[in-house]
Amino acid sequence: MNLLRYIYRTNSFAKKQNAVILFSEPSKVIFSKRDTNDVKKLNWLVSKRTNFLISSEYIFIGNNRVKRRDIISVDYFNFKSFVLINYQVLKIELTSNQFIYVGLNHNLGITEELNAQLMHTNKKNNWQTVLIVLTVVMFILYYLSN
Amino acid sequence: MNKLFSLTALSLFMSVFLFSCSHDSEDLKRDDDDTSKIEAKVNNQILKQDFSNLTADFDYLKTIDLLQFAEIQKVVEVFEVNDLKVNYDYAFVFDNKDLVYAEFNKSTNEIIITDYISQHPFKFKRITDSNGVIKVLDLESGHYLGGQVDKNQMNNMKLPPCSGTLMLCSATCVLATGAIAVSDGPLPFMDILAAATYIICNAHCASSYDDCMN
Repeated sequence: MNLLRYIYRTNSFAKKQNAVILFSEPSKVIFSKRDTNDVKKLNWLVSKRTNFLISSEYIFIGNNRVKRRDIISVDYFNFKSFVLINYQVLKIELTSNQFIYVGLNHNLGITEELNAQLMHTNKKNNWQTVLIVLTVVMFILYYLSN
Repeated sequence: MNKLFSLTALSLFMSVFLFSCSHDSEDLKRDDDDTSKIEAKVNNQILKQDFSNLTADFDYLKTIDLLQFAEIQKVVEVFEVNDLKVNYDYAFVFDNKDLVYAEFNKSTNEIIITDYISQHPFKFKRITDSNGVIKVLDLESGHYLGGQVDKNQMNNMKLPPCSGTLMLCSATCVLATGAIAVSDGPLPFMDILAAATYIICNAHCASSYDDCMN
């Protein structure tokens, strides 16, 4: 996903931080006080588009910085999109009773670094996914034929 | 549930979009009822024929039908094409071999006698013009009277169904974009996919219905 990294300027953003960055990913972030495992039902349309960086002491979410020792637990959820891209949602619980939900491309290194617990995985394509892909393909074929 | 709704909505509106786009703008017909009828006067009797379901390039009346309708057995003496003059851009007479004998041009208000009839005047006995009304005398039963709408003129017309279809097309783009963005909300790549869909879809709408945008 180099295109995403280019659009989000992830590499230059990581270089600007005054720390050794272990991992960096473009992400969608929701700050919330709501504790839910049904992460796909959150309002991702208005989520914050920013870079998610991890150093040995902090996690950087855009201009926000969270100390890793303030993290109580990290859970993660694996999904497969209808365009067959694996992605994951991190649910980070803080000592302030706040939750940070982070949607990003599948990155095993991040989950291992944060000792995240796998909560859910859904990599099966269902008939709705097949339907949508077929519809999009039909649309593209129609467009190209004209 | 969110995903189910968005996927269903996307599929539904994509289907509507494809259906609406499958109607070429050239197929659009004028909406007023007058253009779907040819009205002719045969021996002072008004004859009409309904062409509400017509999809051909032109409307026509077969003179043999007129004869049967009017219960006239032999010769049509006076044939006036008032209605053709009003509602069609071109009126013409032709035979079953597609030979055109005469044309009426609405824009110039002139009768044009084709080269064929100029060279073979015996084939078509008399054509007279009286105050902008075409009178075709001694029309034979093997001839047809046709009226044609200028398609170039039609395409330049601002038709309400056209703008409606454009709006439907654009609305479909918005809904499809939203549905794609919502379907896998947490994935950042979906933003790019949704944006690409929106741009391509709207470009397609604009190119398909550029006549409607003026």
